[in-house]
Amino acid sequence: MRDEVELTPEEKMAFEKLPREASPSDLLEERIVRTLREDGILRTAAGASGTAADVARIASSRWRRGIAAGWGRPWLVAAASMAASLILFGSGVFLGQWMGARSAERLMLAVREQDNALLAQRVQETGSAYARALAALAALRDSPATGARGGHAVPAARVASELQQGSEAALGALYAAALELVRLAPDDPDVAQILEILEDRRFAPVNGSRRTKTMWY
Amino acid sequence: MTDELSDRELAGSVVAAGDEAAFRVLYRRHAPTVYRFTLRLTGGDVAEAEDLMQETWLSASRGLARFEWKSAFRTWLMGIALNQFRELARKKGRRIATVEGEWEVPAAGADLGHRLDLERALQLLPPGFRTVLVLHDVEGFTHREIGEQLGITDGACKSQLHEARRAMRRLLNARLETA
Repeated sequence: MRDEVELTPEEKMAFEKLPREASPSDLLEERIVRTLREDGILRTAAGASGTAADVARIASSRWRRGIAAGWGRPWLVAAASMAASLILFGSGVFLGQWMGARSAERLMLAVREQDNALLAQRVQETGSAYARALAALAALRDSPATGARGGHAVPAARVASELQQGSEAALGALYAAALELVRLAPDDPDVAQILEILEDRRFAPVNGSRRTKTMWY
Repeated sequence: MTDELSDRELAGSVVAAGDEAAFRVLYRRHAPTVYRFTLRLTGGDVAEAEDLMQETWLSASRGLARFEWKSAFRTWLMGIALNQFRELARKKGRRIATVEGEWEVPAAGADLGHRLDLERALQLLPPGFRTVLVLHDVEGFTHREIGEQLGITDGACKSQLHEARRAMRRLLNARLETA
């Protein structure tokens, strides 16, 4: 075995000066991603571009994966929908409380039975209840009798607070529902877009603090 | 906060949820280094380097769940790239793990009348010399590591490096004249 030929200082410097990076083409990235999608290793994500915004989204979604362990089981779909209606229960809005509790009770039964058809029906009912609660909330806001409830005067500040809570709860429920929809239809770009819009809104800071104050039960 | 996500966290998102965005972040973080490495291994052949890149990332993604994080993610990727390069060479009937014999400096080339720079000299070396030079003198791998990767002994690796450096010097000192 021969001794190594030692590099001269100039040669060492020349090696050190060699560039360490080169930019591969964007097409190559797309080619790799497409192949990984076809292999089922990556799931299609509308708008996934690897930008800083994407990293932010990944960071914000880590908790989501935690609660989403075991996706695909029907009872989880129902449970998440039930959570959406329970938000209304916790919002402090009277109408939301009533409707949310009612649909939540039915969904609890559906969870026990684990009947897909029944679950789908309950989701539909809950969705309808959600929409009705929102309509009632909007009507409450627009009503000239906003300050009165059950014949008793209600302070305007309290009404405003309840309306705000209701709005936040509505947004939270919509967000939860969008999460479910993304899982149910991961290839639907419209659904993914809805989720992204809601995430932008939900996590956007307002006056230096997070917008959402929704309480989850 | 966004830039603080570690390779491991991003890889976790890819493994757990097939998160495309996480994969793209991970890819863009390491692709420039790996691509330069593949370009050097292939002697500047862009098409071959891109094929090598693709095979490297596909192989890495498929094996991501098994990666134990005992080494840096980039080091792991480079090892995969090298394995893929060996596989590619084997398919094309090239030898990169065996010690090259005597090698003559090409009589003419594209850089006629100019002193060659190091990058160009690396490209002109035969694959066996180039591989060991890139791994040892550019990337800083030890003889033992190179030997393990290429399936040769430390001694064979040292011998290969010896000849590779001599060949590189001859190239760098040669003025290629028009034939």
